[in-house]
Amino acid sequence: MTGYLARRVCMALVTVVVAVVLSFLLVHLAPGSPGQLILGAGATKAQVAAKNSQIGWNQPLLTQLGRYLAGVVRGNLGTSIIDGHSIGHDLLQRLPVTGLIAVLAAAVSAVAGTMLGLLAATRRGAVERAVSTTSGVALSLPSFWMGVLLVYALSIKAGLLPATGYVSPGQSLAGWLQSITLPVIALAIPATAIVARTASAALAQALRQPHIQMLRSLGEPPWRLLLIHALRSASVPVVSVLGVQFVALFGGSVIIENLFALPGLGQAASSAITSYDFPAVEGVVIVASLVVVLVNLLLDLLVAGLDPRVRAT
Amino acid sequence: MSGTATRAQARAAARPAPGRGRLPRSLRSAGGIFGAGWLLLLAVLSATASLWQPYRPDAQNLFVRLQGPGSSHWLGTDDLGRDTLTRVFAASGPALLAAALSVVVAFAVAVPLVLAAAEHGRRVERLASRGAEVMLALPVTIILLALVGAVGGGDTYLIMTVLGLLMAAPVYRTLLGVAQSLHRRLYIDAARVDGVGPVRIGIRYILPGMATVTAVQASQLFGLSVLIQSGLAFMGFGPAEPAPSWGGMIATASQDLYTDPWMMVPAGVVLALTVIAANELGDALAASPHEQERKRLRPRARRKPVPRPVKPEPRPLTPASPLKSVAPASGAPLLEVTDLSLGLAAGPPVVTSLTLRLAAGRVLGLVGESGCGKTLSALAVLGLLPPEVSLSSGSIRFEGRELAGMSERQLRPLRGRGIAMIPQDPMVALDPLFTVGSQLTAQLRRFRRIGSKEATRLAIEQLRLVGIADPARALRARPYELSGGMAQRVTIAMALAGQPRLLIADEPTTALDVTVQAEILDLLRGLVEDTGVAVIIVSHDMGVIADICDEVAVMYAGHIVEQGTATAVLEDPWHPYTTALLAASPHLAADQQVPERLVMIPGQVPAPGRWPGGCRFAPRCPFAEQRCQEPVDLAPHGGPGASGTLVRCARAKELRELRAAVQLASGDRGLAEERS
Repeated sequence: MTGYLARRVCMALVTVVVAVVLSFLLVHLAPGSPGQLILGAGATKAQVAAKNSQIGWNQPLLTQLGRYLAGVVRGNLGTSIIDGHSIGHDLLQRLPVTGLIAVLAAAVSAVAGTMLGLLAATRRGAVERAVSTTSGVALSLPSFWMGVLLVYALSIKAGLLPATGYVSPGQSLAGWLQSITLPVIALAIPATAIVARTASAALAQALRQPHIQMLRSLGEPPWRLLLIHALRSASVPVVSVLGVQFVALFGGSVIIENLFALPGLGQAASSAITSYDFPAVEGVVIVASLVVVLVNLLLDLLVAGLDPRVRAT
Repeated sequence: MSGTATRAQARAAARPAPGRGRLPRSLRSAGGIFGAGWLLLLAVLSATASLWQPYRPDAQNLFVRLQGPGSSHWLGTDDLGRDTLTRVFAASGPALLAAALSVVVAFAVAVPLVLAAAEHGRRVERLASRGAEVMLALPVTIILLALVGAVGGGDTYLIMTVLGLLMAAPVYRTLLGVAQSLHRRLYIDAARVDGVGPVRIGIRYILPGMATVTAVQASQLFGLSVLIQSGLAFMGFGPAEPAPSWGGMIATASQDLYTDPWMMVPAGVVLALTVIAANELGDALAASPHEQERKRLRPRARRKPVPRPVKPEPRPLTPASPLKSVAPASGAPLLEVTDLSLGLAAGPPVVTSLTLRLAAGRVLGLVGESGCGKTLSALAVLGLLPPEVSLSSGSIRFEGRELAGMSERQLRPLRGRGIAMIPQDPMVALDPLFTVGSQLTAQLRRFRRIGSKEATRLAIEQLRLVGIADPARALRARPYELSGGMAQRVTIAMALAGQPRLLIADEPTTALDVTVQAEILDLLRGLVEDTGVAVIIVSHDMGVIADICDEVAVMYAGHIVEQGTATAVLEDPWHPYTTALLAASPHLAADQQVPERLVMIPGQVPAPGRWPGGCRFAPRCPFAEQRCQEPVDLAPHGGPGASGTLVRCARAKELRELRAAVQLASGDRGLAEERS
């Protein structure tokens, strides 16, 4: 168990470092310079050089990377080259918006997907086909388009929920729930479909296993076969899929924030990109990677808890 | 014979003959046709756009802004009066190309790595795999956003190339599994021995083997790439205006949602259909190899039966045991199967007119080659037939109660308490996610209605009963930490938890080591003597049958061909099939000459539905003649009483006389040789 844990933590750290270096290199190896981008085509070479040296761009790449990494380790993500604000501070306030939406969407899809999977695995025939066909279509639906459709149907037509805007949970819990319901549903639809597929395939496979046959020959009640033995063994692939899905949900949440006017990481990324605020772009990558890696680490531990064979390796 | 093997045969028999069609088999499903058709249509429409487009994609007409569908603009217009139909399909060309680019990049990076990792073994593999694991955990969309921040959103092809690099990780991981399993195949080893170089092995054998998985994954990644690309465009980082993109069109539409909701429909539907098409295509491609995969990954391959040491002496005739099937003793037998027939759903029969009788404390062996219906017959007693097989006629009476026709709900209380089963492969018959103790005590608590403390005490007692030296330790162990023999003892203890009167053992020793086989058979024999439980043993191994059975039923092609006491059938067989089985058995009749002992039976058991109309063994029988083309009944031979054997052979009597004459002759010859 300790070996397994140590390996997972190690991999998580490596992943974060790779994400940091990758985003740094992407930004720094790209043609052009921030000075040029900020000042526009009309600026003279001297003006651009002055701007670049002001933000430290003209130093050797390794020096910049070293300084940057040293800052990141101390929790300092630098300051915005646009308004001079602390990027870390800004992103820390935005993280809960994006993160909670992604976590809630993951939770909804885990529960709903598993229930649909159980339904498909136990009710053969029409129900199974219905679940598999619907999920086959639903997993392909772009969540940002689903978001637009939901806004039209539930906000504009039915008037049930606010179309855009964000209420922080500190202000009003009910208001917060209302403001994130549509984004969570839009994100959860494809994720639920994927979990449902995985769960129904894994349950069907689990139910065919010899140890389930053995228990059946002993007269074990069907609900115990399904909910205790088959579900536990099916939960391992389901949790793994959830880990992959969380990465997608976090990215999806970033994409649809603009649609719902939510002050999350996506909005920060959008405005940083349009204003060429490269330290802010890098900051978004780091924060996002940290969250994604942390959640995946937790899910790895959950898998280890569910399957003792994983712990033993 | 394993249950899965039976099922595979049953399925093979039930499957209609593959039809001939022009489309590849994998594309013949509705999803496959739709997926391939839609992507093709989109590609053709966008390639020929200049020929049919009614407007130019960027032609504005502010007088017809935000129109719904109409005769001049079939799909309406956008906020600048541009024709939506034109723009949706103008966007499709670049979108498909960009998605294809990312897929090509992903495979161009992953495939060489996979070939190298599979060929060069652990070091390369570990390095590449760790790298892939890290890449998999990266938030792809956000890294692409960082790239967009650096190069701007306009350079779609550069962004899609980087996306391809990031997607190489999942491709690598999937293909590596396939390549590694291919590398373990024997024909690859054979090619290597023949001196075929690693590169040629990769190209000739590994690459074609990965083709299907590649196609499946390529179409899935294609869909994903389209989604990510339009997500970025939706955020405003797509192709620069006025170039159309699906994501950009949806974003524009979302701004006019209150007044003109129609605009979100065309681009959204085409985008969704494209992603659905890619995924459906992937599913259709995956559907056919899935079957093969399942067959290949069948829970543990059956191990070859290992010959057990030759028994020093044949068991003496058990005195008070006249065969009950001929002369039923007073009092109803424990199990009475009469004229049982099993059939595939709307298909041929797999077992016909099976009649068995078994008294308490007796051991009955069902013996025969794989595919003769012995496992299905045994499973029918428990009502645990695979879904495609059903009981078509006959009766199964257990302790006087009719089981045939009972519902699952009615049968369940009987399972474990009346009849229990010992599995074929104990290593997979216990749930690996629970300890031995929790599984055993759960059954004890359910059957005996006792508390957990009492159940643990009882579990220790039970494990000691089945010969486990350190029960407390075994209780704490996980199933995969046990040896095969230990695991089989545990499953026997579980089968005994409900104190059943009948145990059904399906090849209980086939998966075990030679020395352990004998121990398990000893254990079963001891249980029969001590508790009076009756046992049905299914086996293809005449040695097992000789070791433990009181009675034997030899099965061939779905019915019994010879049935009687073990002593009579094994020492004095009537049916040519029984004789052949005994002759093919490596550890019986040690006194016979070697060339005579190990005889192969030519041919194989015909599949259900292909049985001959007359004697089913006739096509393989060296003694078959004209009258063997007529159906044969199971008839008593060898006179009444103890040696009364039932035989299904038209020539039984004359063959026996013939054999006696041959034996006499060879005995004479032996004598003559001894003298000379």
